[in-house]
Amino acid sequence: MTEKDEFKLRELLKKSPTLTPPETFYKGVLEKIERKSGRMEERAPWYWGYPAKGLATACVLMVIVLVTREAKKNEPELFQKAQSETMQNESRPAPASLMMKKAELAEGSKALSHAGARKDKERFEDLANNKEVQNRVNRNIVKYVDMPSPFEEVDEKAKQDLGLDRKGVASEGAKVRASSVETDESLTSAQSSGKGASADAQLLERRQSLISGRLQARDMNGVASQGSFLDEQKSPALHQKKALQFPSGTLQLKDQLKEEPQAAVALAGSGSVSNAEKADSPLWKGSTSGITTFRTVVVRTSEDWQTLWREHAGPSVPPSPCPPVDFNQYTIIGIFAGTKPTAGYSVDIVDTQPLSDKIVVLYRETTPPQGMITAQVLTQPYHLRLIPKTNLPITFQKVP
Amino acid sequence: MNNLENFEDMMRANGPRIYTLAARLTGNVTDGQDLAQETFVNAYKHWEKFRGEADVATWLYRICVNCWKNRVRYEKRRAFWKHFSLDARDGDSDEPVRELPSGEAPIGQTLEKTQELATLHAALARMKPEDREVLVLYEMEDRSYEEIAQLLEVPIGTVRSRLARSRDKLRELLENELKRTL
Repeated sequence: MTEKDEFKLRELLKKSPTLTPPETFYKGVLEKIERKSGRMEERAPWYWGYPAKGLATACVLMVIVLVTREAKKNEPELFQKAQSETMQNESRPAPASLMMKKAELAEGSKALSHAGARKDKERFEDLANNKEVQNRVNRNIVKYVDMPSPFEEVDEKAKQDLGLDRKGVASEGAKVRASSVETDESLTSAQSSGKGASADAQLLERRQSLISGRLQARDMNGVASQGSFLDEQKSPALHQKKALQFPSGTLQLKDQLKEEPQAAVALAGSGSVSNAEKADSPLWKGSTSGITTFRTVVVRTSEDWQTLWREHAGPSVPPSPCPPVDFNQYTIIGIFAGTKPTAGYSVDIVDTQPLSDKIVVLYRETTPPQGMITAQVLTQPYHLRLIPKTNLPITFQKVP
Repeated sequence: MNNLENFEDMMRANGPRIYTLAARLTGNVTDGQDLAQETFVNAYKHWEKFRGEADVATWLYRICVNCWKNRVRYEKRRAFWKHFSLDARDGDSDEPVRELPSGEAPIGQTLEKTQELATLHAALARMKPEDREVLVLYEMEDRSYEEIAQLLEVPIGTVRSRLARSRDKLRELLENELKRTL
């Protein structure tokens, strides 16, 4: 087809005439419209749409529920009626043929049961008369009666073990407690009775002897721990020394001090030497401090203490008050590990070793093991501790 | 009934245009009459809501094209789901034998005045509805690409490509028709 033809085609398409609809077309449209509107008018009173249908359904359901409930309320009466009817039926005499059949059946079953019972009885008598069977039964009964329960055995054993252990522990604890009380009392009485420099000297001597005794005991424990288990078992003295090192009373106090360091200071400040010994325990320990670089501190005066505390408690809001410490009796030693990248780091004062010319503070720094999941927060581990007042130089030594 | 009277006046004024459009879109007068009637009935449904912001003719035009699209969609769906024999009867029912509209131009139609026009309308009637509608709207109704795109809800590019394809198709069909008449 050429361009001419295409043009012709377009012209032809454009020339196609406009159609005039017949009159029937308009009539048809109007009829359809009227029919539709008429249908709408007709059904208007009855046609409510889906909401109305839903409402009607709900009403019907409600009626059904109400009717069912009413029926249930009247159920006992219905039941009674039915029951009375059945009773009447039962009271009525049964037909003669049925009665006959019933009687026959009863007789048959009786005869059968009699026969069965007789057979069972005979068999039982035979068994009872059989001596072999009797012996076997008796033997079994004796065996089962005499045999103790395996659970009972275990229980008894456990009870014995526990009882013994508890006794042992209790007696050891009691001894230790008594000895510590004795020491406390003697020291307190010495303090109260002694006046002036002589009493103080006496107290110091006693204290030093106590500290040295404790250190010796610790050394011995170290040796014992290096030794074999058998050696430990063989040396009850070492056990006793271990117990002395961690008497129950001291442990309790340590727990209390951890929770309430200020109360510990108050206790320590009461002047009792035994308390002072007890106060030679962790006092201030934690992982958040205002001191962000590694530092070892020895505080001998309250001014220094207040300055240190201000620096240490810097970030806390509101600022925590400086705990009162009697520097006439105590010296504070401490380690600040500095800022660490995560949680899990800690620093501990392990021991204080008084030598002739100085005191050596042994401390240990702990780092979280590799691969351990730790809180991603900056921490500043620290450990402060009270020791009896000393003017000797104090050096710090790190232990692995 | 003032409302209906107004509507009747409007219908009579715009009747020929919509009637012609419907006949051109469907390809035969009978189906066109149905489509035009459906258009006016739907227009009456919304006559009260019509605010007169747009031209009534344009509004009716849009309704007619939408009705046409719905009809084509419905026919397609029906053709896809219902594969039944045209001669099949359901038992003893008095239903007449089902018949599909013939692709050929109906006998006695008043649309064509000349032989050429008759051939053209026969070729148009043989075309697919999608191809025919673009051709009718562009060539016969003088609608622009933008208007056609808006009416048919397709991009302008699609209208252009469809139009080109429809012309080719019409050419082919016309050649066939001419061969047949000769």
